[in-house]
Amino acid sequence: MKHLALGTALSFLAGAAAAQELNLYTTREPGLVEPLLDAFTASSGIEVNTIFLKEGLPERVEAEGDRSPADVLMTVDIGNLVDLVDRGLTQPVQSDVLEAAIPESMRDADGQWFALSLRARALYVAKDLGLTEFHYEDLADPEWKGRVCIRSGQHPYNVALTAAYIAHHGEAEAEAWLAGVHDNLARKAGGGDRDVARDIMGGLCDIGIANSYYVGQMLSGNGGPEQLEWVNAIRLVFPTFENGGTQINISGAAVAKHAPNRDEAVALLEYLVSPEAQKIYAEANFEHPVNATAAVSPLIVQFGDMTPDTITLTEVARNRKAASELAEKVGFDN
Amino acid sequence: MELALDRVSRRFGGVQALSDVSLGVGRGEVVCLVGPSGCGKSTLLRLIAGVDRPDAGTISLLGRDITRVPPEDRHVGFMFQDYALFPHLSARDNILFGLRRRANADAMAEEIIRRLGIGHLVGRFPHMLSGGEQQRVALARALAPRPHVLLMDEPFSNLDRTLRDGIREETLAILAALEATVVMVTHDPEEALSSGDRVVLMRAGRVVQAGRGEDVYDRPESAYAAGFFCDFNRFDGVVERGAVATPFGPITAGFADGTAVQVLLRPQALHPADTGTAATVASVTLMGEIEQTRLRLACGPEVRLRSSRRHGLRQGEGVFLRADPAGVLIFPADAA
Amino acid sequence: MTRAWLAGVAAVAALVCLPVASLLVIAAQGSSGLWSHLAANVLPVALRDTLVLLAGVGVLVAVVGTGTAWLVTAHDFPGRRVLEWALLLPLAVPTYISAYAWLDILHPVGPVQGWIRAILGYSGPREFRLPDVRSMVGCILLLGLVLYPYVYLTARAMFFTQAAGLIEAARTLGERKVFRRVALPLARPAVAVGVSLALMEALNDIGASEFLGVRTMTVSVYSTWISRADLPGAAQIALAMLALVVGLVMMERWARRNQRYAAGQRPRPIGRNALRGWRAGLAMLACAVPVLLGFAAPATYLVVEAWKRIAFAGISPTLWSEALNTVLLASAATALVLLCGTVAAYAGRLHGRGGLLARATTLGYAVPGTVLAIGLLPLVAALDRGLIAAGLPAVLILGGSGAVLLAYMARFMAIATGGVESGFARIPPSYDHASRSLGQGPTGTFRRIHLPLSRPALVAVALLVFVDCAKELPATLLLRPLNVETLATHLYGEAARGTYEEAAIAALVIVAIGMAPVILLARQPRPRYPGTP
Repeated sequence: MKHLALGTALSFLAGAAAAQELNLYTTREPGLVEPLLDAFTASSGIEVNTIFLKEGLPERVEAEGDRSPADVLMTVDIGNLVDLVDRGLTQPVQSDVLEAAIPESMRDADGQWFALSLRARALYVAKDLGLTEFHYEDLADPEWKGRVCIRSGQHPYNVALTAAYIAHHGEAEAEAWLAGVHDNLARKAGGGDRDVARDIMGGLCDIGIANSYYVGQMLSGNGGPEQLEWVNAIRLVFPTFENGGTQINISGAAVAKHAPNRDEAVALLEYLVSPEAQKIYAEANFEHPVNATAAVSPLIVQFGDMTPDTITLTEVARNRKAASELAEKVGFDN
Repeated sequence: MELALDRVSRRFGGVQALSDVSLGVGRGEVVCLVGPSGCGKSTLLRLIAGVDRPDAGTISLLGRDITRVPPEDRHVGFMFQDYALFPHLSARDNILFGLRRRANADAMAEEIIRRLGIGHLVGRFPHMLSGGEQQRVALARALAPRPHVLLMDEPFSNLDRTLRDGIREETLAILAALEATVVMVTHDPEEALSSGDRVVLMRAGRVVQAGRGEDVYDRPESAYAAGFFCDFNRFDGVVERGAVATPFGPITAGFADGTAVQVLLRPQALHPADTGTAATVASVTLMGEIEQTRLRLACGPEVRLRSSRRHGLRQGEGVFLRADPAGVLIFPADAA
Repeated sequence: MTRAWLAGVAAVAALVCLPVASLLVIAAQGSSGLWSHLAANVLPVALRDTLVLLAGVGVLVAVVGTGTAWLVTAHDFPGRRVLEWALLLPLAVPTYISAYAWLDILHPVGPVQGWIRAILGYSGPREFRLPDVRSMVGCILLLGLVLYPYVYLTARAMFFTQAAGLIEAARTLGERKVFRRVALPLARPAVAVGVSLALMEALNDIGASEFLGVRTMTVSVYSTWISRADLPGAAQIALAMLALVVGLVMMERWARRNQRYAAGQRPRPIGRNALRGWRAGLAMLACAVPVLLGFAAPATYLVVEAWKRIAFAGISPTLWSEALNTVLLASAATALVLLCGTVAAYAGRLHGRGGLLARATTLGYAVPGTVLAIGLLPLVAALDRGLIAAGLPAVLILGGSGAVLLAYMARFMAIATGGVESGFARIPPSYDHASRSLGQGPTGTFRRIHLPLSRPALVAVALLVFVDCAKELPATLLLRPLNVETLATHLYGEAARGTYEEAAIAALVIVAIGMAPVILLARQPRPRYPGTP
């Protein structure tokens, strides 16, 4: 205990003294952010200390208060970013670099948060179906009865999708839709997004909702030969709302209110939207870059263009609570 | 007084385990607390040891109030019914346990080991000792620190009957030689009468009678005390004209006329005679030194007769019985 | 001196209860409309699922734990010696790892089902597939198979120490159904303790239930908090659950308030009944199945997956430092928890009020790990800020791992207090009294009598706590300082990203770390002193 406590205590104190260091609190998994951070350290000389958290990141920063070592708060899902701002855990950042690189709809007007990458809530389709276009609304169509796979209705990705549906069609229709999707499920809602590809390969279902970048990860072969088998059984389709585009979500970051290393924090954000880093997002993580000058991975692009939905991210964030309650109301996970 | 208890009371939930018990024990005296289980005698012992505390009253040792003193500071030895020898320590280490802070611990231990003649046992662990050997080691352990008072809780009850009397005599002899002050608890009337300088009979948390063994046996102050030490024949009756009628004739009673009384007759006070109350022998049981005969009286009730003599009576035989008036006690009937 | 022990247990109880108190404060902030929504849409299903899960797991662990304990203590059959300790191995497998392994093994397109279809001549899972593992039955089976050792441990100890004389007596009385008529009633308190530990684990388990799609109340705590950013609401549900658990535990204690099973005179092993022929085979099978399903299958799966991964991508260089962190944190926490549990148990033995406080130290076991950590968070942060303000290094959360240790303590004190108490219960009170009247105070008596005599119980407690700490995930995740990863957090990082294949190696190391103490525990020599009751 002494060893750990003192060791980490000392590293923290040393960190406060040496300016070339910054502390990152992230809900993005270490495996995803490490390549980016390594590249940042290599280019800037700033060391990054990280802690990977899942639930409770805002609670932790809040509790640590003005002594919090957190400089950058990184998370996925617009709801989580807005939540950080609402709790007063972030500070506004004025940066020409960030404003130039990120479209206005992908950052907070006051500079409280910035999107770093985009992901589409996409459709995986059994290859032999030959389907290339799809509306989210169709998921509830009885045609697909017993043929749909999806993860838990309470997962932030699905909550955001439902929230966008509410924004398009209102709560009552969203409820009917969600109940319809539930009726079409081939199996209990659950598992991960990659299980959708696996289950389609296994013939358990024909279509399923999952994030776009998993297709790239599986196709890259980094997950091993089995996952290549799964992904080769499916085709990626970017569905749209009948009166809109593809539902997208973001990963993003904010500078913590009490950031002890504010300059380094801004430097990290600026680096993350640079073409160099955006290329890593696209090529290593297969996400859509937020900086339009960077290219989407060829593994994703081969499935066609993606047109983001017209509903703003903040509107999606507003409907999040209602969406989560709807999932419980229709018993989506039962 | 070496040890004095003044109006000590203790309550457990709804049960009054001890109420207003006072007791004094003199130096070198052996006092036997006796009574049926649940009478409070063990509770009293625990209060003296300090492992439990009274709700009211005081306990003093050598004139010092020790009511609130923790057990480790009382200099009271305690020997438990199960001996409570520490299984992870050898007999010698058990004996040394109470001598930790003594400069001459080894010498003191050797002294008590020699006195008790258990030199051959001290290297063994408790589970390697017989019941009698464990009893010896436990006694040595309790005596080694030379406590002001030695408390013994049913010290002989875990021993075989054949061993018990011998070990009891030896133990008492050792205690006498050491001039130890002892409070001992037993449920066995005979043990109480034979072991103590003084016997304290308890019942339902109170002292019923205290005194020398022959006093409580010969002159019990209540039917309860009488019945505890002796298995009497009992007849109920009412006093009329200064006497109460019994199968063995009227017996003078010091109670007002009309008082319901019980007449207690020692089985040893009955003997066959040429004339007297007619009876038939129901059974004869040899109990070792004594012989017990059950007889049905012609007027109905059954009586027991005990004698160290062999009367040679046979089942079904008719006899006459006489009662020795010295073996008769009379108490009011309601004084149960 | 007694007062010092009472002060000690009071301090420990306060430390454990603080996070709960902090939850109360959070809950009091209020959450509008939560309960009407819950009552309409969540509670009916969540309550039903929670109760069904608890009932199912309770019955399963009681039957498997008691049955196998009876088989290995009272009978002899081929393989008994190995099975006797192997039956403890599932303890080494965290429920979330077991769930993930079984999901994959039994996946409709996984190896087992593919094999079955090949034999039966079906071409795809649409034509034929087994019932979904992701179901209530799957969840009950899975949790039951991992949690039964809690009952096995307590029941086996009871059979060892108590049963011989009584069972022999029953046999001489011509009783053939010795197990049902004598052993089972005798083991009831031990089984009750084991079952209540297993049920609390089951109730707190978010990983496995969420994985398997069972909507317990614990899952509702999470969806309220995470999906709806309603922490006060989540705290309210958690506290309501806590009240429920405390109520159940008290009912259980009340139900056996009149049962006193004094320690038998001299424990000795039951004369083993040597089984032959099909009976021996059946006994072996009955003991082997829980080991195979609860340990061997998931462990083999992990070995295969880890092997594939190592061949494909090698071992992550951080794995060793993560393993070291895991062992260091778990060891430190074990020392702390054992110390506090011993203080609590001994204070309870010394004084009635100590007993009440000792009960209070076990409260944290009934709170899900993350919820407990959330309760702890404001407290440790405030303390650390105080430390910094005083010019001292912050060691709890802002700079050290103190908060993680506190969370482990709050969480696992129940195991320590209960385990040490049951160890002490075998020491007759007359030993305490003898020692006291021989001049040793409470502390000296503890050191010279209780410590040496309850060593086996203390070792058992230490091992259980160590395994639990090494497996613990949610509190570790939330409360560890910057740059500190353990195997569990690494595993979770990979699993959350969906890269399960990366997680297999870390999972395997967790199981391996958990196995060592479990084997030690099983191999522990019998009490050294035959006279020890």
